[in-house]
Amino acid sequence: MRKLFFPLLAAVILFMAVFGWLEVARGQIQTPPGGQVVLNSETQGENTREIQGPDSAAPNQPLISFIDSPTAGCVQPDPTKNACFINWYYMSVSAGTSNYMISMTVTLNDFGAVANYNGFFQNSMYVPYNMNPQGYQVECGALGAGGAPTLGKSYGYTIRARDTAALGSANYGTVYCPAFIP
Amino acid sequence: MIGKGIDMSLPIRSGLLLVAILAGLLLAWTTVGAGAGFPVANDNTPLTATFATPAPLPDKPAGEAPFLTTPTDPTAVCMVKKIHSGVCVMNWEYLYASADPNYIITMTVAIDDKTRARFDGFFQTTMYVPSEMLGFQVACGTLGSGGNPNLGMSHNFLISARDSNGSKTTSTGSVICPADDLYHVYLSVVRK
Repeated sequence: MRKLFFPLLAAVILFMAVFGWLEVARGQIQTPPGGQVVLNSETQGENTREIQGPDSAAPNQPLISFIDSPTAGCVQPDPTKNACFINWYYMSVSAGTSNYMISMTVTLNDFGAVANYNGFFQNSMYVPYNMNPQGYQVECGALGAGGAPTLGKSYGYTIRARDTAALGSANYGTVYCPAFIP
Repeated sequence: MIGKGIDMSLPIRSGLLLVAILAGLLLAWTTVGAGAGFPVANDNTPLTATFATPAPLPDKPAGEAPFLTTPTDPTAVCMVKKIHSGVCVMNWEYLYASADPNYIITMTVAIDDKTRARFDGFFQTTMYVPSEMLGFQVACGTLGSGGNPNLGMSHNFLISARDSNGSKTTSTGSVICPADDLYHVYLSVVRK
């Protein structure tokens, strides 16, 4: 039996090591806070969009749509000022016919939430650019400040929407501003 | 010697057998555990699990010819913002580019060799920017400074677009602004 001790010990250590590694790997499954899981996700370049739902009763086909938020722009109207303006052509999301949209929130990651749109007995939500005609004022930044050598600062943003079925939709992207060159 | 050799290999064999059994148990546990870890809908249909780093979508298939259209920028205008301010505003009726079936990644507006606006696409095959999202202050200039004796300065522009297929197109031109100079106020010197 004494001769079996070392092989047994080696086997147990190996087992524990593999078990521990698997736990770490399983812990990396994306689970957003609040007991929600990601039901659908797409990535293209620096942009990601996803749909989230409750862990317990996740539907097969989430009714909430991806948020459509095309053409994130950063414009420098006056080249003598270090002031740029971020805006989207529009933001649109639908909760399907059986649910209501609760809210849609725009967050500039450096600053926090900059707009919150609240639904009112509505199945979809559409926010055109001219609801905020000027856009959100930010610093343009120096050349290369955002990582692109010919542009200024870059700003990460998150747009989140949620509906009455506790489903959520989120867009994660980055917008680059022109540089301020005094 | 032979008997000792057989005697020494027994614990090693036992250890290997134990490792194999534990590995089998581990494999079975992993399979069952992974199945139970996925959210299951009410009708017991497993959902697709999404991990922290989702695999990027493949680019849309490239065509035989570049699909990215030259940015369309009709009706470029330059108008005085405020008389005697010397400041004019350049604008377009709209800007438009299509990369269909690829995604359009960016559209950039540069005036007089300086980038003034950048538009980033988000899972979109076309990009449309209305005039209200544009508007760029430029110097109006003095009469004749742009070559036309009745107008002010001329400003060059370059609008470029890029798509997910790596194609890039540009549209260039120039706009002559009305002349407008700063309003000079001459104070008279009053001797006391």
